[in-house]
Amino acid sequence: MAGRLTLKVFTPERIVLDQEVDQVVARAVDGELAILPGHEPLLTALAIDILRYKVGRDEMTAAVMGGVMEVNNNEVTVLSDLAELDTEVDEARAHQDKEKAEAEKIQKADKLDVYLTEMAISKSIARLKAVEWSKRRRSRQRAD
Amino acid sequence: MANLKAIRSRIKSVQATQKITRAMRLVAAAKVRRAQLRVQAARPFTTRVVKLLREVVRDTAAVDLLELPLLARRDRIKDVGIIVLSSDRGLCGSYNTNVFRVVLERLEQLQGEGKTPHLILVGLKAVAFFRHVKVDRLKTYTLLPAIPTVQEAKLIADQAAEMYVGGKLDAVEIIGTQFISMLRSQVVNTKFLPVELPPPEEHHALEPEMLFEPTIQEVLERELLPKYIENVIFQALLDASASELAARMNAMTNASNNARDLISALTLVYNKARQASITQELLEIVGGAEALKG
Repeated sequence: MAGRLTLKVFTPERIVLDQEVDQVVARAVDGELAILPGHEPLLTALAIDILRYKVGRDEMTAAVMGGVMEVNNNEVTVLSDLAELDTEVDEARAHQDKEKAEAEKIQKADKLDVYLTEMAISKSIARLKAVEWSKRRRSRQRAD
Repeated sequence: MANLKAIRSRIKSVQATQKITRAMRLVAAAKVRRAQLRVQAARPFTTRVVKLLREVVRDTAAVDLLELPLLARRDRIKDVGIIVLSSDRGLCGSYNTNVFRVVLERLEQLQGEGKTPHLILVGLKAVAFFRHVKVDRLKTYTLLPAIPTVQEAKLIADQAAEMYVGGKLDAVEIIGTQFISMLRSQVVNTKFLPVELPPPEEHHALEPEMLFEPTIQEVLERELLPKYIENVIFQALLDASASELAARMNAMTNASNNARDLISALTLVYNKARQASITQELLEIVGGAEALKG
């Protein structure tokens, strides 16, 4: 093994994450990518989705709303407009947002409006997915 | 001797003013702390974006960059957009005047060079000030929240970039206040568009090549450059708001101190006048008694 990865997640408002991890799985715009230590330099655009990272045997998730990911020298840097760790997501609100956006989408005719509501929907889906993953993980841990 | 009643009401009114300025000072002090934290919190992101953009541009052939309008430098610069960052509310000392002075100087300079300046105004104060200046106003943004968020920055950045790409403007700069410390801020002129970058280096053959997903143009055009321009504006807005609040806090501190000095001076005058009137009355009584004794 070529050491560990340093995962850093930045948003314009704060540093979401700065941690040593063993593996990162992210969704780029054209498919899922797994980054292991020793990965070659890479720069990619991320989709609005979750980012999974492993520390030892534990797996953690974060919702990342698009952005770019750079891999260089065992350092993974994510620059995103908005990112939340699974523990920070407000599940009830994400549900609400999703329903609201879906209701709005039906009414909107303008292309731009539809696009915007679709963005809102995928954001709340990413949030919910992050919560979902961490729940599944917890129940698995309980089963162990 | 001054009228006792008049002095008393003067003291009352100064006290009322002092209450207001003191309250405003406390509010500004609380807000400036938050604003300062925001400025600091935004810096790591900004430095990262700038670093990444530099790296990418360095690794990219100059030919590939030519197609990106945000990076291309135009030969003939005629229309220059100036984004003016001011506050919505007053009572913040010379904060806005300092900005406007620099803007006016720059306008004159541009006109002297035969270029056409256009203004993009942020804040009610700028709108009021430039109402009587004969310069084209492209856009105005007012009543932004006291501590700006990425959304506002995005809005301004997108519209400015659109005008630039569409050929309406050949260059865009930002004139705003940079927050240095609680007591010091400075008006700075930041070149916003075209994006300033170091000249690409010629040789870097042995470095590991970076992979790009999907392609380098797409990553640059859809992610890095928009992030960069948004962030430049966001940082400028944050700096401006922190400076505004710091300026307001200082102005209000001065005002409260002035009110305090004024009250103590007036109280002195008042007491002297009171003393004098008592003495006067005593003299009159004594004089009257003496006269009666005859």
